[in-house]
Amino acid sequence: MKKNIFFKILLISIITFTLYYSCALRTAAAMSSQKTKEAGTVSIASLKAKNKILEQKLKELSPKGIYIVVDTAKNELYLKNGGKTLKQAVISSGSGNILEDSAGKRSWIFDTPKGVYSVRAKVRNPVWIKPDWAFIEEGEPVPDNAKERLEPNVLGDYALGFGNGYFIHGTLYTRLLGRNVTHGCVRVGDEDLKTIYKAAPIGASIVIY
Amino acid sequence: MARLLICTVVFFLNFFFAANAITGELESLEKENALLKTELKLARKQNIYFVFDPGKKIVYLKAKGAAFREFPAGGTGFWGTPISTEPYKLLKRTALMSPEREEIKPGEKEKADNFELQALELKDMPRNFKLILDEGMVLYVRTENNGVLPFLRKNLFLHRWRFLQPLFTVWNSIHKKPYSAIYIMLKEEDAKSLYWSIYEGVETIIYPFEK
Repeated sequence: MKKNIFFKILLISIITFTLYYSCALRTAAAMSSQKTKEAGTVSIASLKAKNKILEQKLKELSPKGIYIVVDTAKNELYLKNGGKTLKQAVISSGSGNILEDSAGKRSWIFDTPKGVYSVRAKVRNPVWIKPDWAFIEEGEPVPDNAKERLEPNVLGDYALGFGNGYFIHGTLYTRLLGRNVTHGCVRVGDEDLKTIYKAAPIGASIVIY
Repeated sequence: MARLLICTVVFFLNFFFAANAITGELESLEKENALLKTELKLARKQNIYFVFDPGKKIVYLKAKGAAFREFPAGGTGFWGTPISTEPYKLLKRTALMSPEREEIKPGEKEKADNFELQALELKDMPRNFKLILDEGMVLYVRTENNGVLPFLRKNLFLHRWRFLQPLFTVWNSIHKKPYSAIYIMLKEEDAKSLYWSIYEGVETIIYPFEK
Protein backbone atom coordinates (compact mmCIF):
# COMPACT_ATOMS: atom_id res chain seq x y z
CA MET A 1 0.00 0.00 0.00
CA LYS A 2 2.79 2.38 1.03
CA LYS A 3 4.70 1.42 -2.09
CA ASN A 4 1.72 2.35 -4.25
CA ILE A 5 1.38 5.76 -2.64
CA PHE A 6 5.09 6.37 -3.14
CA PHE A 7 4.82 5.48 -6.85
CA LYS A 8 1.75 7.71 -7.25
CA ILE A 9 3.53 10.66 -5.65
CA LEU A 10 6.59 10.01 -7.82
CA LEU A 11 4.42 9.83 -10.92
CA ILE A 12 2.64 13.09 -10.13
CA SER A 13 5.98 14.74 -9.35
CA ILE A 14 7.46 13.68 -12.69
CA ILE A 15 4.41 14.91 -14.60
CA THR A 16 4.35 18.21 -12.73
CA PHE A 17 8.09 18.76 -13.07
CA THR A 18 8.15 17.97 -16.78
CA LEU A 19 5.17 20.18 -17.51
CA TYR A 20 6.58 22.98 -15.40
CA TYR A 21 10.05 22.72 -16.91
CA SER A 22 8.87 22.67 -20.50
CA CYS A 23 6.54 25.61 -19.84
CA ALA A 24 9.37 27.52 -18.16
CA LEU A 25 11.69 26.88 -21.10
CA ARG A 26 9.10 28.08 -23.55
CA THR A 27 8.42 31.19 -21.48
CA ALA A 28 12.13 31.98 -21.16
CA ALA A 29 12.62 31.66 -24.90
CA ALA A 30 9.59 33.79 -25.54
CA MET A 31 10.67 36.44 -23.04
CA SER A 32 14.15 36.65 -24.52
CA SER A 33 12.77 37.53 -27.90
CA GLN A 34 11.27 40.86 -28.81
CA LYS A 35 8.73 39.10 -30.93
CA THR A 36 6.55 38.02 -28.05
CA LYS A 37 6.07 41.64 -27.07
CA GLU A 38 3.94 42.01 -30.19
CA ALA A 39 1.69 39.10 -29.49
CA GLY A 40 1.53 36.13 -27.23
CA THR A 41 0.77 33.81 -30.10
CA VAL A 42 4.20 33.18 -31.62
CA SER A 43 4.21 29.72 -32.99
CA ILE A 44 6.73 27.86 -35.07
CA ALA A 45 4.36 27.78 -38.01
CA SER A 46 3.67 31.52 -37.90
CA LEU A 47 7.39 32.32 -37.56
CA LYS A 48 8.24 30.10 -40.50
CA ALA A 49 5.58 31.86 -42.54
CA LYS A 50 6.86 35.29 -41.47
CA ASN A 51 10.43 34.33 -42.37
CA LYS A 52 9.29 33.13 -45.79
CA ILE A 53 7.62 36.50 -46.37
CA LEU A 54 10.80 38.33 -45.33
CA GLU A 55 12.90 36.17 -47.65
CA GLN A 56 10.47 36.95 -50.45
CA LYS A 57 10.71 40.68 -49.71
CA LEU A 58 14.51 40.44 -49.86
CA LYS A 59 14.30 38.67 -53.21
CA GLU A 60 12.02 41.38 -54.54
CA LEU A 61 14.65 44.02 -53.74
CA SER A 62 17.33 42.35 -55.88
CA PRO A 63 17.96 43.92 -59.32
CA LYS A 64 15.41 42.99 -61.97
CA GLY A 65 15.78 42.70 -65.72
CA ILE A 66 19.06 43.80 -67.28
CA TYR A 67 21.59 45.16 -64.83
CA ILE A 68 25.32 45.77 -64.58
CA VAL A 69 27.72 44.51 -61.94
CA VAL A 70 31.18 46.04 -61.65
CA ASP A 71 33.86 44.22 -59.66
CA THR A 72 36.57 46.86 -59.16
CA ALA A 73 38.86 44.37 -57.41
CA LYS A 74 39.00 42.07 -60.43
CA ASN A 75 38.40 44.91 -62.91
CA GLU A 76 35.55 43.02 -64.48
CA LEU A 77 32.08 44.05 -65.56
CA TYR A 78 29.14 41.68 -65.86
CA LEU A 79 26.05 42.45 -67.88
CA LYS A 80 23.35 40.39 -66.25
CA ASN A 81 19.74 39.42 -66.62
CA GLY A 82 18.54 37.88 -63.36
CA GLY A 83 21.05 35.20 -62.47
CA LYS A 84 22.33 34.87 -66.05
CA THR A 85 25.53 36.61 -67.18
CA LEU A 86 25.02 37.94 -70.70
CA LYS A 87 28.44 39.53 -71.06
CA GLN A 88 31.67 39.61 -69.11
CA ALA A 89 34.10 42.42 -69.89
CA VAL A 90 37.52 43.52 -68.70
CA ILE A 91 37.47 47.10 -67.47
CA SER A 92 39.62 49.78 -65.87
CA SER A 93 38.41 51.36 -62.66
CA GLY A 94 39.57 54.05 -60.24
CA SER A 95 43.27 54.37 -59.38
CA GLY A 96 42.67 55.39 -55.78
CA ASN A 97 45.20 58.20 -56.18
CA ILE A 98 44.90 61.56 -54.47
CA LEU A 99 45.15 64.96 -56.11
CA GLU A 100 45.36 68.26 -54.27
CA ASP A 101 45.18 71.61 -55.97
CA SER A 102 48.07 73.97 -55.36
CA ALA A 103 45.86 76.30 -53.32
CA GLY A 104 45.27 73.32 -51.05
CA LYS A 105 41.60 74.07 -50.77
CA ARG A 106 40.35 71.08 -52.69
CA SER A 107 41.36 67.48 -53.02
CA TRP A 108 40.11 64.50 -54.98
CA ILE A 109 40.35 60.77 -54.41
CA PHE A 110 40.06 58.88 -57.65
CA ASP A 111 38.04 55.89 -56.51
CA THR A 112 35.21 54.28 -58.42
CA PRO A 113 32.27 54.77 -56.07
CA LYS A 114 30.94 51.58 -54.51
CA GLY A 115 27.25 50.98 -54.02
CA VAL A 116 24.04 50.64 -56.00
CA TYR A 117 23.43 53.12 -58.81
CA SER A 118 21.36 53.23 -61.98
CA VAL A 119 21.87 54.23 -65.59
CA ARG A 120 20.82 57.86 -65.66
CA ALA A 121 21.97 58.88 -69.10
CA LYS A 122 22.96 57.21 -72.35
CA VAL A 123 25.08 59.22 -74.75
CA ARG A 124 26.34 58.42 -78.26
CA ASN A 125 29.64 59.98 -79.29
CA PRO A 126 30.13 61.54 -75.88
CA VAL A 127 32.24 64.64 -75.43
CA TRP A 128 34.24 64.87 -72.23
CA ILE A 129 33.59 68.06 -70.29
CA LYS A 130 36.87 68.27 -68.44
CA PRO A 131 36.36 68.96 -64.75
CA ASP A 132 38.70 71.19 -62.72
CA TRP A 133 40.85 68.29 -61.54
CA ALA A 134 41.78 67.39 -65.13
CA PHE A 135 43.43 70.80 -65.56
CA ILE A 136 44.99 70.80 -62.11
CA GLU A 137 46.44 67.33 -62.69
CA GLU A 138 48.06 68.55 -65.90
CA GLY A 139 49.35 71.66 -64.16
CA GLU A 140 47.25 73.92 -66.34
CA PRO A 141 45.04 76.82 -65.28
CA VAL A 142 41.34 76.04 -64.95
CA PRO A 143 39.59 77.84 -67.85
CA ASP A 144 36.69 80.23 -67.37
CA ASN A 145 35.34 79.51 -70.81
CA ALA A 146 33.20 76.36 -70.86
CA LYS A 147 34.16 75.66 -74.47
CA GLU A 148 37.76 75.11 -73.44
CA ARG A 149 36.62 72.22 -71.29
CA LEU A 150 35.23 70.19 -74.18
CA GLU A 151 37.31 67.26 -75.34
CA PRO A 152 35.76 64.97 -77.97
CA ASN A 153 36.95 61.50 -79.02
CA VAL A 154 38.37 60.37 -75.68
CA LEU A 155 35.38 58.58 -74.16
CA GLY A 156 34.74 56.13 -76.99
CA ASP A 157 31.52 55.80 -78.98
CA TYR A 158 29.12 55.47 -76.07
CA ALA A 159 28.77 56.50 -72.44
CA LEU A 160 26.37 55.49 -69.71
CA GLY A 161 26.17 58.01 -66.89
CA PHE A 162 25.41 56.87 -63.36
CA GLY A 163 25.51 60.18 -61.49
CA ASN A 164 27.97 62.69 -60.03
CA GLY A 165 29.92 62.84 -63.29
CA TYR A 166 30.73 59.13 -63.33
CA PHE A 167 30.35 57.19 -66.57
CA ILE A 168 30.86 53.78 -68.04
CA HIS A 169 32.62 54.72 -71.26
CA GLY A 170 35.16 53.67 -73.89
CA THR A 171 38.90 54.20 -73.87
CA LEU A 172 41.87 54.96 -76.08
CA TYR A 173 44.12 53.04 -73.69
CA THR A 174 42.87 49.52 -74.30
CA ARG A 175 46.20 48.03 -73.15
CA LEU A 176 45.40 49.34 -69.67
CA LEU A 177 42.14 47.44 -69.44
CA GLY A 178 42.27 45.24 -66.36
CA ARG A 179 44.26 47.85 -64.40
CA ASN A 180 43.23 50.57 -61.97
CA VAL A 181 43.99 53.73 -63.88
CA THR A 182 40.87 55.88 -64.09
CA HIS A 183 39.70 58.90 -62.16
CA GLY A 184 36.63 56.97 -60.99
CA CYS A 185 34.85 56.21 -64.26
CA VAL A 186 34.61 52.68 -65.61
CA ARG A 187 36.45 52.20 -68.93
CA VAL A 188 35.36 49.39 -71.21
CA GLY A 189 36.66 48.12 -74.57
CA ASP A 190 34.77 49.25 -77.70
CA GLU A 191 32.94 46.02 -78.57
CA ASP A 192 31.92 45.27 -74.99
CA LEU A 193 30.76 48.86 -74.55
CA LYS A 194 28.55 48.62 -77.62
CA THR A 195 26.84 45.51 -76.23
CA ILE A 196 26.37 47.09 -72.81
CA TYR A 197 25.05 50.35 -74.29
CA LYS A 198 22.50 48.54 -76.44
CA ALA A 199 21.32 46.18 -73.69
CA ALA A 200 21.12 48.40 -70.60
CA PRO A 201 18.13 50.73 -70.56
CA ILE A 202 17.87 53.97 -68.61
CA GLY A 203 17.10 53.01 -65.02
CA ALA A 204 19.00 49.71 -65.16
CA SER A 205 20.75 49.01 -61.86
CA ILE A 206 24.53 49.24 -61.58
CA VAL A 207 26.06 47.45 -58.60
CA ILE A 208 29.67 48.41 -57.92
CA TYR A 209 31.86 46.75 -55.32
CA MET B 1 2.54 -0.03 -10.93
CA ALA B 2 6.27 -0.17 -11.68
CA ARG B 3 5.53 -0.72 -15.37
CA LEU B 4 3.15 2.17 -15.39
CA LEU B 5 5.83 4.32 -13.81
CA ILE B 6 8.45 3.31 -16.41
CA CYS B 7 6.00 4.00 -19.24
CA THR B 8 5.15 7.38 -17.77
CA VAL B 9 8.82 8.26 -17.30
CA VAL B 10 9.59 7.32 -20.90
CA PHE B 11 6.57 9.25 -22.15
CA PHE B 12 7.42 12.38 -20.20
CA LEU B 13 11.10 12.20 -21.06
CA ASN B 14 10.05 12.18 -24.70
CA PHE B 15 7.72 15.05 -23.98
CA PHE B 16 10.50 16.91 -22.17
CA PHE B 17 13.01 16.50 -25.02
CA ALA B 18 10.34 17.39 -27.55
CA ALA B 19 9.58 20.56 -25.58
CA ASN B 20 13.29 21.39 -25.58
CA ALA B 21 13.53 20.81 -29.30
CA ILE B 22 10.51 23.03 -29.90
CA THR B 23 12.04 25.76 -27.76
CA GLY B 24 15.33 25.48 -29.64
CA GLU B 25 13.58 25.66 -32.99
CA LEU B 26 11.48 28.59 -31.84
CA GLU B 27 14.59 30.43 -30.67
CA SER B 28 16.44 29.76 -33.90
CA LEU B 29 13.44 30.88 -35.97
CA GLU B 30 13.16 34.07 -33.90
CA LYS B 31 16.85 34.81 -34.50
CA GLU B 32 16.42 34.13 -38.19
CA ASN B 33 13.45 36.46 -38.19
CA ALA B 34 15.41 39.24 -36.51
CA LEU B 35 18.35 38.77 -38.90
CA LEU B 36 16.08 38.82 -41.94
CA LYS B 37 14.50 42.04 -40.71
CA THR B 38 17.95 43.55 -40.24
CA GLU B 39 19.01 42.49 -43.70
CA LEU B 40 15.83 43.90 -45.19
CA LYS B 41 16.75 47.28 -43.66
CA LEU B 42 20.24 47.11 -45.19
CA ALA B 43 18.98 45.86 -48.55
CA ARG B 44 16.69 48.87 -48.86
CA LYS B 45 19.73 51.15 -48.82
CA GLN B 46 21.90 51.91 -51.84
CA ASN B 47 25.02 50.57 -50.14
CA ILE B 48 26.83 47.29 -50.27
CA TYR B 49 27.07 45.26 -47.07
CA PHE B 50 28.60 42.00 -46.02
CA VAL B 51 27.20 39.04 -44.17
CA PHE B 52 29.18 36.42 -42.31
CA ASP B 53 27.49 33.10 -41.75
CA PRO B 54 29.69 30.99 -39.46
CA GLY B 55 27.40 27.98 -39.89
CA LYS B 56 28.08 27.87 -43.61
CA LYS B 57 31.56 29.41 -43.15
CA ILE B 58 30.97 31.95 -45.90
CA VAL B 59 31.36 35.71 -46.12
CA TYR B 60 28.88 37.18 -48.58
CA LEU B 61 29.32 40.53 -50.25
CA LYS B 62 25.81 41.74 -50.84
CA ALA B 63 23.68 44.56 -52.14
CA LYS B 64 19.90 44.75 -52.45
CA GLY B 65 19.54 41.36 -50.79
CA ALA B 66 21.58 39.57 -53.46
CA ALA B 67 25.03 38.07 -52.96
CA PHE B 68 27.54 39.24 -55.56
CA ARG B 69 30.61 37.55 -54.14
CA GLU B 70 31.14 34.70 -51.75
CA PHE B 71 34.33 34.08 -49.80
CA PRO B 72 34.46 30.60 -48.24
CA ALA B 73 36.24 30.49 -44.89
CA GLY B 74 38.65 27.70 -44.05
CA GLY B 75 38.26 28.18 -40.33
CA THR B 76 36.56 30.48 -37.89
CA GLY B 77 36.32 31.13 -34.17
CA PHE B 78 34.46 33.32 -31.74
CA TRP B 79 34.99 34.77 -28.27
CA GLY B 80 32.97 37.24 -26.29
CA THR B 81 29.48 38.48 -25.67
CA PRO B 82 26.64 37.12 -27.81
CA ILE B 83 26.42 38.49 -31.33
CA SER B 84 23.72 41.05 -31.94
CA THR B 85 21.07 40.59 -34.60
CA GLU B 86 21.39 44.32 -35.35
CA PRO B 87 23.87 45.41 -38.02
CA TYR B 88 27.44 46.30 -37.07
CA LYS B 89 29.13 49.27 -38.68
CA LEU B 90 32.74 49.11 -39.83
CA LEU B 91 34.67 51.82 -37.99
CA LYS B 92 38.18 51.03 -39.15
CA ARG B 93 40.28 48.62 -41.19
CA THR B 94 43.74 48.07 -39.78
CA ALA B 95 46.68 46.06 -41.03
CA LEU B 96 50.37 45.83 -40.30
CA MET B 97 51.08 47.06 -43.82
CA SER B 98 48.08 49.19 -44.77
CA PRO B 99 48.01 50.20 -48.44
CA GLU B 100 48.96 53.81 -49.08
CA ARG B 101 47.37 56.02 -51.69
CA GLU B 102 49.71 57.71 -54.19
CA GLU B 103 49.57 61.45 -54.38
CA ILE B 104 49.53 62.89 -57.87
CA LYS B 105 51.95 65.74 -58.41
CA PRO B 106 50.24 68.27 -60.69
CA GLY B 107 51.94 68.67 -64.06
CA GLU B 108 54.07 65.55 -63.65
CA LYS B 109 51.67 63.17 -65.35
CA GLU B 110 53.69 60.72 -67.38
CA LYS B 111 53.07 60.30 -71.06
CA ALA B 112 51.19 57.22 -72.22
CA ASP B 113 54.30 55.78 -73.90
CA ASN B 114 56.39 55.45 -70.77
CA PHE B 115 53.43 55.00 -68.50
CA GLU B 116 54.25 53.44 -65.18
CA LEU B 117 51.18 52.58 -63.21
CA GLN B 118 50.93 54.21 -59.81
CA ALA B 119 47.69 53.07 -58.35
CA LEU B 120 46.11 51.02 -55.65
CA GLU B 121 45.39 47.56 -56.92
CA LEU B 122 44.17 44.31 -55.45
CA LYS B 123 47.73 42.99 -55.06
CA ASP B 124 48.53 45.94 -52.75
CA MET B 125 45.83 44.94 -50.28
CA PRO B 126 46.86 43.24 -47.02
CA ARG B 127 46.49 39.51 -46.52
CA ASN B 128 45.95 39.75 -42.78
CA PHE B 129 43.92 42.52 -41.28
CA LYS B 130 41.54 43.52 -38.55
CA LEU B 131 38.09 45.02 -39.00
CA ILE B 132 37.01 47.11 -36.03
CA LEU B 133 33.24 47.26 -35.89
CA ASP B 134 31.04 49.15 -33.46
CA GLU B 135 29.61 47.56 -30.30
CA GLY B 136 33.06 46.20 -29.43
CA MET B 137 33.13 43.70 -32.27
CA VAL B 138 36.50 42.89 -33.83
CA LEU B 139 36.86 40.73 -36.90
CA TYR B 140 40.28 39.24 -37.65
CA VAL B 141 40.80 38.15 -41.23
CA ARG B 142 43.71 35.78 -41.77
CA THR B 143 44.92 33.99 -44.86
CA GLU B 144 45.65 30.34 -45.33
CA ASN B 145 48.76 29.79 -47.40
CA ASN B 146 51.11 26.93 -48.03
CA GLY B 147 54.68 27.21 -46.82
CA VAL B 148 56.58 27.21 -43.56
CA LEU B 149 56.30 30.90 -42.74
CA PRO B 150 52.54 31.20 -43.34
CA PHE B 151 52.07 27.99 -41.34
CA LEU B 152 54.03 29.45 -38.42
CA ARG B 153 52.20 32.77 -38.68
CA LYS B 154 48.84 31.03 -38.71
CA ASN B 155 49.71 28.91 -35.67
CA LEU B 156 51.09 31.86 -33.78
CA PHE B 157 47.82 33.66 -34.40
CA LEU B 158 45.76 30.65 -33.31
CA HIS B 159 47.79 30.28 -30.10
CA ARG B 160 47.35 33.97 -29.35
CA TRP B 161 43.68 33.53 -30.10
CA ARG B 162 43.28 30.64 -27.68
CA PHE B 163 45.22 32.20 -24.83
CA LEU B 164 44.69 35.93 -25.12
CA GLN B 165 41.13 36.21 -26.35
CA PRO B 166 39.62 34.60 -23.23
CA LEU B 167 41.57 37.13 -21.15
CA PHE B 168 40.30 40.05 -23.25
CA THR B 169 36.78 38.69 -22.94
CA VAL B 170 37.00 38.45 -19.14
CA TRP B 171 38.75 41.83 -18.85
CA ASN B 172 36.08 43.59 -20.92
CA SER B 173 33.33 41.75 -19.10
CA ILE B 174 34.70 42.97 -15.73
CA HIS B 175 34.79 46.51 -17.09
CA LYS B 176 31.30 46.04 -18.54
CA LYS B 177 32.47 46.86 -22.03
CA PRO B 178 30.95 44.99 -24.95
CA TYR B 179 33.60 42.85 -26.58
CA SER B 180 33.41 40.12 -29.16
CA ALA B 181 36.08 38.81 -31.47
CA ILE B 182 35.81 36.60 -34.51
CA TYR B 183 38.50 35.23 -36.75
CA ILE B 184 38.00 34.11 -40.31
CA MET B 185 40.57 32.20 -42.38
CA LEU B 186 40.25 33.07 -46.06
CA LYS B 187 42.19 32.36 -49.23
CA GLU B 188 44.70 35.09 -50.02
CA GLU B 189 42.81 36.53 -52.99
CA ASP B 190 39.51 36.45 -51.11
CA ALA B 191 41.00 38.23 -48.10
CA LYS B 192 42.44 40.93 -50.35
CA SER B 193 39.16 41.24 -52.25
CA LEU B 194 37.23 41.62 -49.01
CA TYR B 195 39.60 44.36 -47.83
CA TRP B 196 39.27 46.06 -51.21
CA SER B 197 35.49 45.93 -51.40
CA ILE B 198 34.56 47.19 -47.97
CA TYR B 199 35.11 50.64 -46.59
CA GLU B 200 34.60 52.55 -43.38
CA GLY B 201 30.89 52.93 -42.67
CA VAL B 202 29.89 49.75 -44.44
CA GLU B 203 27.42 47.66 -42.45
CA THR B 204 27.55 43.99 -41.71
CA ILE B 205 25.40 41.21 -40.35
CA ILE B 206 26.97 38.39 -38.41
CA TYR B 207 24.98 35.26 -37.93
CA PRO B 208 25.23 33.66 -34.48
CA PHE B 209 27.75 30.92 -33.84
CA GLU B 210 25.90 27.71 -33.08
CA LYS B 211 26.78 26.03 -29.81
